[in-house]
Amino acid sequence: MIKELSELGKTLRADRTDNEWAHDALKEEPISLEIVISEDGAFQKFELFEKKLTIAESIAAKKGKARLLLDKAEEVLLYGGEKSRKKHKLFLENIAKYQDLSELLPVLAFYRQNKTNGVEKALNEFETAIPDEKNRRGNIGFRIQNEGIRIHEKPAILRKVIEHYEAAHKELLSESQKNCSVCGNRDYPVVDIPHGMIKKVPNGQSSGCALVSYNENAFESYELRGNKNSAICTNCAKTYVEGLNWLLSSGNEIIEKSKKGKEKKIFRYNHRKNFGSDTAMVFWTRENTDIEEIDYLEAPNPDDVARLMESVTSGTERDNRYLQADQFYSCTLSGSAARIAVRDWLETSLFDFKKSIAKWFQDIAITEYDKDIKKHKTHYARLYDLARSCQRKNSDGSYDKDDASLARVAVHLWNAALKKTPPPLWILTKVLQRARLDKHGITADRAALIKLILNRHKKGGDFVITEKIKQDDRPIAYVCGQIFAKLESIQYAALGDRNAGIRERYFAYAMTSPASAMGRLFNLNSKHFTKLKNEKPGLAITMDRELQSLCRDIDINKFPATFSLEEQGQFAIGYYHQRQKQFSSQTQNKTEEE
Amino acid sequence: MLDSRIVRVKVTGDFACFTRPDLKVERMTYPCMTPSAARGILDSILWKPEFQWYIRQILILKPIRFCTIKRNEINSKQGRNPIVIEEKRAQRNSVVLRDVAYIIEASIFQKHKSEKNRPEKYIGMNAGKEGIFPRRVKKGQCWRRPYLGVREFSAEFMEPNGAEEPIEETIPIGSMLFDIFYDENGKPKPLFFYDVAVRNGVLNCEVPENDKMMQSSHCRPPIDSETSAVIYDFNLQEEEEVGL
Repeated sequence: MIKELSELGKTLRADRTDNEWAHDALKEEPISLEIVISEDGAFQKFELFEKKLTIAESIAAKKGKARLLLDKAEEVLLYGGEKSRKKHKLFLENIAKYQDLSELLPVLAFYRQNKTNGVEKALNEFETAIPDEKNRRGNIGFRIQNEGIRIHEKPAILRKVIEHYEAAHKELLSESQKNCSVCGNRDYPVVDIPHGMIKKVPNGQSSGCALVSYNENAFESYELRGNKNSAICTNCAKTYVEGLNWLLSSGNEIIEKSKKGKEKKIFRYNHRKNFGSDTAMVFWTRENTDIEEIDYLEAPNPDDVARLMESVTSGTERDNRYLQADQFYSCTLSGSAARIAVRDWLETSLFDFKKSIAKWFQDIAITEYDKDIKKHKTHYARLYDLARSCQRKNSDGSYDKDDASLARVAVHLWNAALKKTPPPLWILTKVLQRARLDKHGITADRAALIKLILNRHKKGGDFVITEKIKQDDRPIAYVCGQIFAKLESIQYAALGDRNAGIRERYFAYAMTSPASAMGRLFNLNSKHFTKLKNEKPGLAITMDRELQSLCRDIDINKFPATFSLEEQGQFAIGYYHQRQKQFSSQTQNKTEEE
Repeated sequence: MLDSRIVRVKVTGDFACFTRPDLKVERMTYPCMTPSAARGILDSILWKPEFQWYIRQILILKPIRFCTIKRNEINSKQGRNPIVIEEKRAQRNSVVLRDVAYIIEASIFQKHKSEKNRPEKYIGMNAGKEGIFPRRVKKGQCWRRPYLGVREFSAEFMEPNGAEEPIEETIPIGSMLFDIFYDENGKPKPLFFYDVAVRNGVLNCEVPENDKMMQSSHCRPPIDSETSAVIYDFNLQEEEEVGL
C-alpha cells in the first residue's frame, strides 16, 4: 500500500511540470497574514487576506522546529510573552542559517539593527491591527513594500533551502546507507523523522494524522528507533504522504438544489467515498485515470450499467491484455486520534475491477413496478441506499443517527462490490430485522440486498434468486413468501386498508415459524374469502385460483417448523416478487374493467 | 551447504497477522505468510545451532480473507516495574487474516557439515529412520507453540495429506519483509525482497535475499532478561528527569 501511494505521489509530481519547485524540501503551506516591511527592516503594516497556499520550507513535525520565514505569531513576533521565547529563538536561528543571502537583509534588520521599528513595533501593533483572535493563529509571512512576491517565495531562497536539505541528506547518506523498504533504492536516507501528516481523515484530528507513527517505544523492535522501524526513505515518505493527501482532498465544488429549492454548495470528492462519519475509502489507478464505474455505484443509470455489462462480457482477449496493464487500488481508512487505522486494502486489475462492478449490478438487479409508467422495470439500487435500508428509523421517519449500521454495512458492501465477495450473513439478519419492523417492509432496496447476499452465499445446487418472479422449481420458503403475499392481498380485497393487517402482525411469525403461522393464516383466509365471495364474487374466484396454483407446488400439510436465515431471505424475496406481480395484475384488472 | 531434500509442513489457524513493518502501530497484515514467519514456525518445531532453515516456497491453501479487530493494548514495553494501565492504555486497530492454511516447503542449510551432523539426523524421511523434524511434526511436538505472526494467533501444524491444492490466484504484494539479518556483531537489520507476488497461490522464496540470510550470525549480545529490564527502567528514569 505504501508503495502504491508513493508511486501515485511521484506521478502527481511528474504531472506538475509547470511547478519547478516540486521537491522534498518544499511544501505548500497555508498563509493568511503578511508583515510588510521596508528595505531597512522597518515595520510598515499587517496585511490580512483569505487563506491561500504558498510554497515554503517543508517541516515533517512542527514540535521543536521553526519554518523559514513562514510561521505562527509565537515564532515570528514573540507573541505570547516568555512562553514563546524558545519558539522565537528557533525561528531566529533558522533565519541565521541563511544570513548570507542578500534577500534576507531586510528581515535580519527587522530583528537586529532596526529592532525598535521592526519586531517590537510589529508586536505592539499586532493585537490592535488584528482584533480577531482567529486571524492571529494563521501563518505569517514577510513581504517587502512595493514588491509583489513574498520573501520566502523568492527563487534564491527556495534554491538555498533545497541546497541545505540536500546537503543534510548527503551527510546522512554518508553515515549509513540502507535499502528503502518501498522502492529498494539507496538514493535517499532512512532516518527517524516523522513522515508527514495526512489531512481530512474522518474522525481524526484536524491538524492531521500519521499513517506511519512510532511515537512510543512499544511500537519499536529490533533496537530500531522511531521511524527507522518502517525502513522508508525520505523521498518515498514524502511522496506517499502527498499521494494520500491528494486522494483525500481532491475534488470540486458543485451546486445542488435541496428539497426546499435552496441552492447549496457541496464538495464532491473525486477519489473518495465517505462511509458515515468515521470511515472513508480512497481509490485510484496506477496511471491515475478517471474511474467512472465507481460513480455508477452511487448513481446507477440503467443505460450505463447495460453498457458496462456489454463491454465486460464481450471483451476480447486483446482488450483484456490492454486493460490489465492498469491496476486499481482501494484503501479504507479511519481516524484514531493522531493515527490512521487502515481497515482494508484492495489491489486488482482494472479489468477485474470492471468485472466486479458488472457482477455487482447483476446481483442487485431487481424488478420494481413503476407506478408512473405502469410497467415493471429493472431497479439498480444505489449502494448507499442498500446500506441505509439496514438503518433504524425514528418515529418521525428520519434515520436514527445513533445507529452505526449504515457505515458498517456500507464498508462491507463496498468490499463486496469491488472484490466479488459475499457480504457477511449478519447483514442479512439486519435487513430482515428492519423489514419486519419498518412500516414499508420489503422495499426494492431491501429485496436487492437480500438477493445479493443469498446469491453470493449459495452453494452448489442452491436456488438462485432471480431478478423477477420465478415460476417453477422454487424452494418452499420462496413459495411460502408468495403465499403470504397472496393472503395479504385477499385480506386487502376483503377488508380494505387496515392499520394492522396480516403483514404487520404475522410477517415475522410466518418468516420464522411457517408451520404454525400458516395454519392461522389459512384460517383467517377462509373468513376473508367468505366475505370477499359475498361482495366481489368474480375477484374471489380469481384470487382463489391464484392461491391454489401457488399451493399446488408444495405440500401444505408439511410446512417446515422453522426457517433458517437463508430461508427467511428466500421467504422475503418470494413475498416481494409476488407483490410486484400483483401490482401488474391490479393494473390489468382496472384496464379490463374500464 | 544447502541440502536438496525438502520437508513440508502444513500450518493452519483461525487468525493470522503478519504485520507490515511500516504499519505496525495500527497493524496491517501482509496478504500471506512472510518467510520470516515461516522460519519462525519451523524454529518452534525444531531449532539447533548446527543448521538453519532455508525456506523454499509457501503454498497458500485457502482464499485470503481480511477482517478488522480493535483491541485495548499498552503503550509501553514491559519492564521491571508494574504498568499502571490507566496511564498506558491505547486502542489499536488491526487488519488480520482469517481462516488461513499454508504449506511451508523448506530445506536445511549447514555451514559446517560433519558425520555427527548429517542432514538425515534432522530431516530424514526413510521409514524407521525418520529424522527429528518429521517425527516431531507427526507427533505434534514443539518446544514452543508456533504462532502466525503474533503470539495470540496460535498455529496448528501437521503433516500434509497430499490432497491440498494452492489457490489459483495471483496476488501482487510489492515489497515484503523477508527476514531479520544479524551481522557478525549481532546487530539486527531487516531484509526486504521486492516485486513480490503470489503466483497461482505460491510464494517463491528462493531469492538472493534468502542466500544472504544463510550468512546471518543469529548471535546477539549476551544480555539476560534481568539486565535488560534494569537497563530499560534506567532509561525510563533518565527520560523522565530530562522531561522535568
